[in-house]
Amino acid sequence: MNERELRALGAWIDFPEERDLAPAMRARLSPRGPRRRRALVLVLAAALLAIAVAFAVRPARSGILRFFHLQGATIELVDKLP
Amino acid sequence: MGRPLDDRELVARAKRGDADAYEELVHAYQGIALRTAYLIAGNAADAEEAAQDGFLKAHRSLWRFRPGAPFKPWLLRIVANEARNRRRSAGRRAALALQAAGEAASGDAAPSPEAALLGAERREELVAALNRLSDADRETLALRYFLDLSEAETAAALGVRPGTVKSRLSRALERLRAELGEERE
Repeated sequence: MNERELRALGAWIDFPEERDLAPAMRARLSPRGPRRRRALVLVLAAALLAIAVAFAVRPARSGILRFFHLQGATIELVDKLP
Repeated sequence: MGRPLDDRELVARAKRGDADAYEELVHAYQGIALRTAYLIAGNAADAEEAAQDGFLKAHRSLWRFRPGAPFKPWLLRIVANEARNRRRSAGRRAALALQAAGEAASGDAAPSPEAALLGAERREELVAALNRLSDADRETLALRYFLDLSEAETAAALGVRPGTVKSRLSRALERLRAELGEERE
């Protein structure tokens, strides 16, 4: 058996008949196109990065949590109740 | 009428949202995409779905496609992954089949002289031996020799390095010869 026989065998394989995929493809293509998708991904990535940076800085994190009324409670032990 | 656009120009236009340009790429590569998917999925319906979904995913990922890189291996990798996923979820093994007796060799009105030289008995013997190989061996040989893909294109479709294809080809040929009970030539 040699490589030439294998190449020749390829012509006898029962491949499915080729159908035009373009019409079905066209109907399913995103109307926004790949460029709009790229812009969307970049905007989302920038937004996530901004949030991550803001939460990494303590004063900014406190400010954001205060704004959303999400600050945690602080427990202090006192000798006498007010 | 102007000259036909090459892949690089078509990809650049498709990236800018030109659906006609992408349709031209689909026309250019639908045949090889379908055959690649068929060799991996082993079923015509799955192969067609894999090719279609592959083209769709490639379109969605065009913005990540490196300008100037060859489009065909990149596309075949996506299509082959789709085909592999379908074969895995169906839980079956792909197997090769020959055309029914009396049909001409695929795509030609008359078989090429080389294809015509391969007798029916020998064809049956070779396909049976190929079907006894592992999926990886059979896919490597089929993509490289049946579809005449380059080693780089075969590597892309299989998701391995070109060096791996070279060694896999050599081992797969050895195993095929052993299945046929033949000594190395």
